[in-house]
Amino acid sequence: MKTKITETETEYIVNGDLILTEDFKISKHLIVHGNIKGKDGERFNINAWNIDARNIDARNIDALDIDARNIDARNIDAGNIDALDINAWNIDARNIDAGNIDARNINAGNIDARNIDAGNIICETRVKKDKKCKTIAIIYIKNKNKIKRKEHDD
Amino acid sequence: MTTETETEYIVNGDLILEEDFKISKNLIVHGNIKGKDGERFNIDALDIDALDIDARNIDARNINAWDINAGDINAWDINAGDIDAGDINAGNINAWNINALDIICETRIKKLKECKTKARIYIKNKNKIERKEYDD
Repeated sequence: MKTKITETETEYIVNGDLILTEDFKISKHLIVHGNIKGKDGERFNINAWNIDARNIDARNIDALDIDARNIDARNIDAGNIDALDINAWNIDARNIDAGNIDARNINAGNIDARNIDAGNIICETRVKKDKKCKTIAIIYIKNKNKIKRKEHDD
Repeated sequence: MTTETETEYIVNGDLILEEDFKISKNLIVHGNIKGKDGERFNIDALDIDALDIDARNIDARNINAWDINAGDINAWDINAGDIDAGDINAGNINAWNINALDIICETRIKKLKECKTKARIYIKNKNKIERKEYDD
């Protein structure tokens, strides 16, 4: 099936998969009715206002809002992430609403997720979707905005 | 003037970026790294060696610079004068003064006793902390 791309003043719409061969940067809302991934399994950077896709497989994602089924990326830098599963090295976001998060570092405002298995979690609130949900981490800090910046003795 | 070898990308002068910079080589800049018209971009390289770095996010193995001014820094080792950043996630940090939001590192070496570490969250010896389940 040939991928059809429609571009408006504010939106970049891909009907099908968006297969990247280089970094992708656009100052529009990126809507992909399929998956975003790199050609031959390679990973590239994605920078857009909003990203709406089924699966995203990328190196770095920098967007205002991401709404996807799965995100598999090295770094995610976003305003809001709303996804089923997030698998990433670093997540830097204002709010995360996800099924499961498997990541190295999470730095977020509010995390609303089932299970989190991460290296470091620094957040404002952690909301569990039910009591059985687990939060596994090396470093886990909540209420980050209540902590004052100060000088530390080494 | 830019010289490129198999392992190095050498800039004799300032490196002025107009877009994100990504290279799988050692980036050696005999000057400053910064964005055009004060804009900030992402830098991704193996090792970075420069005078001053002004970037959005830096992702590198080793960073060696006088002053680093960045959003987030993700590196193994940072050897710098002053660091002014959002979040720093690194192995070893060897610097004069650090002014950051969150610092997670293995060791923090001060170049002088008077050097300051200012942060909201400051965690050292990160590799000695055990992964465990937390009650919320």
